Amino acid sequence: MREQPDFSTHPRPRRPPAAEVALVLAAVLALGAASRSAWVARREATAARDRVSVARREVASLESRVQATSGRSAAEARLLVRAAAAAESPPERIVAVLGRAFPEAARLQALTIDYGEAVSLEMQVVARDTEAWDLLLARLHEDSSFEDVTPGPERRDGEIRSSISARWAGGVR
Amino acid sequence: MAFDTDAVGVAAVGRGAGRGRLRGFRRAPLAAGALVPSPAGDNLVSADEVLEALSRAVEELGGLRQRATIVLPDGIARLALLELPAGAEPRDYVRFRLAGSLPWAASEAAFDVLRVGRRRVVGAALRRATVARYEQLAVAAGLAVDRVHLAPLMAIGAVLGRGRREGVHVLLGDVALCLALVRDGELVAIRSRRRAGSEGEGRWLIEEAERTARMAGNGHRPPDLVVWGSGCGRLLGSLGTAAVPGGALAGSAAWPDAAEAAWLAGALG
Repeated sequence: MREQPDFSTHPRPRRPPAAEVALVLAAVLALGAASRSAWVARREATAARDRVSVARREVASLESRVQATSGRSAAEARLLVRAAAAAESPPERIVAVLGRAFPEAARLQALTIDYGEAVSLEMQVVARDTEAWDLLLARLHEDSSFEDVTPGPERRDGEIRSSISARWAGGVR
Repeated sequence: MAFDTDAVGVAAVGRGAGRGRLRGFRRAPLAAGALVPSPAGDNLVSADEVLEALSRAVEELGGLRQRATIVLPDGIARLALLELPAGAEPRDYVRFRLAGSLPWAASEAAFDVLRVGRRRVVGAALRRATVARYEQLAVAAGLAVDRVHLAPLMAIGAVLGRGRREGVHVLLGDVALCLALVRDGELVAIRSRRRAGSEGEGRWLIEEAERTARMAGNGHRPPDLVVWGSGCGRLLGSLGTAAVPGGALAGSAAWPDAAEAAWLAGALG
């Protein structure tokens, strides 16, 4: 029935048509369904956030373990290189080769050998005179067991005191 | 319950899925002059007789257990088909358009609308004192009044709700009628007239229908005439093939008196 106008002198509130009631009910049901969906979605979102946070913690833990493992591997690698270099170029061999290069007027006061990726030598040398000093440097330069022979500052007070750094090449040939 | 000059009709209407169902109908005739539909004057010339008829019809129907709807007769309201301007409040606009033409002060009137299109309404104005007299009569009969409707608007509702057949629909009351022109599925014109009440009413109706169609800008061919309401059976007999009956009332076979109640077609949907 078409909604008819009401001319009552004391009109009562109009009853909503069945279609409107049905629409309101549908809207209420839809609202309820939407609320439930929102609640479920919120719960799932919270659970997902928890899972993400757990996953992040696990990733952080794995990263720190990987870093620790990587660091240990590098140190181990360095140790292995040093061990290999020391096995290939033992100090007594280096000293023996150096002994052949030193003239009688020069003597080796101290020798530091650093086994790394290369074998570095640092020598403290005393030469009685300039000729002995020059002869020592010339022999070291000529000897293929040594590379990058670099003399340090000289101190001359009768004798010549200085240092010489070089790289051992005798073990890589 | 519907009041008119010739009788008081009381229908028991149940609600089904979207449509009403007629559960009973009683018609209590009135003596001539007991009820005279009029916009301004007292309609209930013999209130006691009308009350007695109403009580009798209700009693024969087995009493009314629910609040009742009063259906006021044709001939007491000022009606107009109006196009609402954009943003206009319907009742205010109807008041604005009809107030100046009423035979009583606008402050004494009740205005309301029946929506018949997207922005088209049938506006109606009634004198509140007239409505109150009918309400008092119903209360005196022991009835609780729920709503007050207008018979021609209920009949227009039936026209629009039942296929919107093209043509001029003649909605007959006992002493007045309403002509409603439907074109292209829309209500495009309405006119209210006092009935001729004579042997030549059929011829007069055809002329009024043609005048209504011409006023609405369609004078090229005679409009189909669809007749509803009080005395439509007798009138259709005199009109022959010039007119067709309005829709039949579902479930009215058990209550033949209900067949000519156009307002009831609107109540049943």
